[in-house]
Amino acid sequence: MPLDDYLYLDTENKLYLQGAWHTKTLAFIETQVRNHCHPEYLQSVTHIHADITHLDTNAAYLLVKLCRYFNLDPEGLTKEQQQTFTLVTAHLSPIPANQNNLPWLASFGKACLSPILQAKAMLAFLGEMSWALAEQIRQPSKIRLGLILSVIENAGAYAIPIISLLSFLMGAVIAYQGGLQLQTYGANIFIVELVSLTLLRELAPLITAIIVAGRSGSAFTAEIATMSINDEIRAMQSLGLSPQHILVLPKVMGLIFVLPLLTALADVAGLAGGMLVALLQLDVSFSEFLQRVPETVSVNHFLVGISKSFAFAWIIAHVGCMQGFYVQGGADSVGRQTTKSVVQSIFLVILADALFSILFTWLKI
Amino acid sequence: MSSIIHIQGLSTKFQTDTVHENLHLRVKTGEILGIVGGSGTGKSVLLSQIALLRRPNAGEVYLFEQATANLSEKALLPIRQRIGVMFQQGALFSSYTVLENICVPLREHTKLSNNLIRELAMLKLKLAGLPDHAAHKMPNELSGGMLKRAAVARALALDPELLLLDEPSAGLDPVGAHALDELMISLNTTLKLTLVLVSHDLDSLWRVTHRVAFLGRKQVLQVADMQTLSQSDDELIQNYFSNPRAHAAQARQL
Repeated sequence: MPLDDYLYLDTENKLYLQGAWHTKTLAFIETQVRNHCHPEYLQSVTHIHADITHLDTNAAYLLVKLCRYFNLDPEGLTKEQQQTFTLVTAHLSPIPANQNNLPWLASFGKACLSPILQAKAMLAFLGEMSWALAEQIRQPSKIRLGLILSVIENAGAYAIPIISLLSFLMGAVIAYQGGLQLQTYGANIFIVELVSLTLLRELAPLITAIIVAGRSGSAFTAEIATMSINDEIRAMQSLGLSPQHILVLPKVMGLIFVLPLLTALADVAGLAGGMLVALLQLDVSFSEFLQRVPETVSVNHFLVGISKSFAFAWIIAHVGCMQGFYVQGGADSVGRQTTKSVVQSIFLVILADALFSILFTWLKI
Repeated sequence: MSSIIHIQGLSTKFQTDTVHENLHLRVKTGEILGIVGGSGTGKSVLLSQIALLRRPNAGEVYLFEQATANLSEKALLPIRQRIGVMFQQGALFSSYTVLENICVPLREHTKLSNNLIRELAMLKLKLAGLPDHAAHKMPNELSGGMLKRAAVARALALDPELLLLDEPSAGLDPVGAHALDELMISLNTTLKLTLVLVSHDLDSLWRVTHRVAFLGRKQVLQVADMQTLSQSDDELIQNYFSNPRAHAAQARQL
């Protein structure tokens, strides 16, 4: 009595195999084999008789398992099929335990240790970078102006449109939201202080740093990581070139030069956005606005914002380059390091901003 | 004997360069065919056309006696599953372990249970001659020879009838290269696989191939066993085989 297509049990308890046993049909065969590998059949099956048209190694593996289950040898295989069967039998091996899978306590410990190791790596990289910078300052002739200029172009010039647009919108939003509140008190003119203080002191440096971290910090990491995977870093070292001098310092210097400029641009664009909303919503004219800014807002606020952007530039370049050098393995690692680089630099930028807040309050600036 | 690959009047153009013009080649079922030729004669391009990764500009490639030039991507899929390809650098997916790499084609193209897939992957790993402990390694932790074996194991996952290899012994030490030669021979004899390999390694060509196709002047100049090919009258082929390294390789075989 045939049970199904690929194997059936006859009345004399012989297990018959038939049809084409290969990878394409293996999914069907697997379910049928599973049905027959049943303790209830274990005693009753006395022979396995194969009358099959094909047998590739994948199917042969299943046949080997079936035969082992019943502890029988297959009968009726052709010479070639017997060869495949023997070949597979000779190459059986259990999957070894994966030692990379740590027990939960160990992975918890590893997870706790990782931020400490990251901080240590960051400190070490800071040391290397400072040392390289000191060397460079001693020998200014070795400064690579071309590389610095290309950083200024890529991270600075090409970021102008996006930074102006976003800061403009930011200024407009602050003016609009703040303006609604001020209007209820009839204090329309104070929109000038509101917009210029928030922008110059806090938001313009912050938003510029975040955009640059996403645009250029990630690019630094991806560039250095890819070079590292291609052995280009080691090639540089073997040619007596210092990766710090060629890859890191130009990026640091270029970014330190260009981020304050971008911040100043963001200040201007943000004020323009605020000004437009002030005119449309609060009837504060451009000339009133522009006249009031220098009267009521001290230049210190602008300088505070700009001075912060120097530190932000250092953080972005530092993290971006460092994560690039710490790449391990292949393409997936480049992606991981780039993500890390952006997350870490934005985190550190905001942390630094908070510390600056405390510092400047303490200094009463 | 039937031909597993039959290339008829194939032409390949890159913008202005013509790489192949009216090229003919037949590969018999069950043989090991080498493809040789100077640099830039389009050996790897030819291999990628056989692997259905690049369509010819003109002509027809018959695989398993089926014309492929005008088939849709969907219609090519069942043919692709009958071909295994080993790329020059291994091209293992770097975010997966070796075992997971071998599982990929099985997971994608069969409905087998997860356990069986992993066991079959382990079988392929052993068939390709890798040690057990390689299973859970990442590709970047493997040596060059192991990487190529892992690539062969992945190519074998779906039990193809045809295996294409791009420079299998490039970048391997003599021991690794020899072991890979033996692997190719054993795949051919035990699994009845047809092998097509592009290679510059003359030792390997002498040892492994049944016939060798010599590419030059945008065509296949001659297809013959190494012995015949090395005594060819054609100037290009003579050039290829007349340098000291080629002589040394030949001397080792005789």
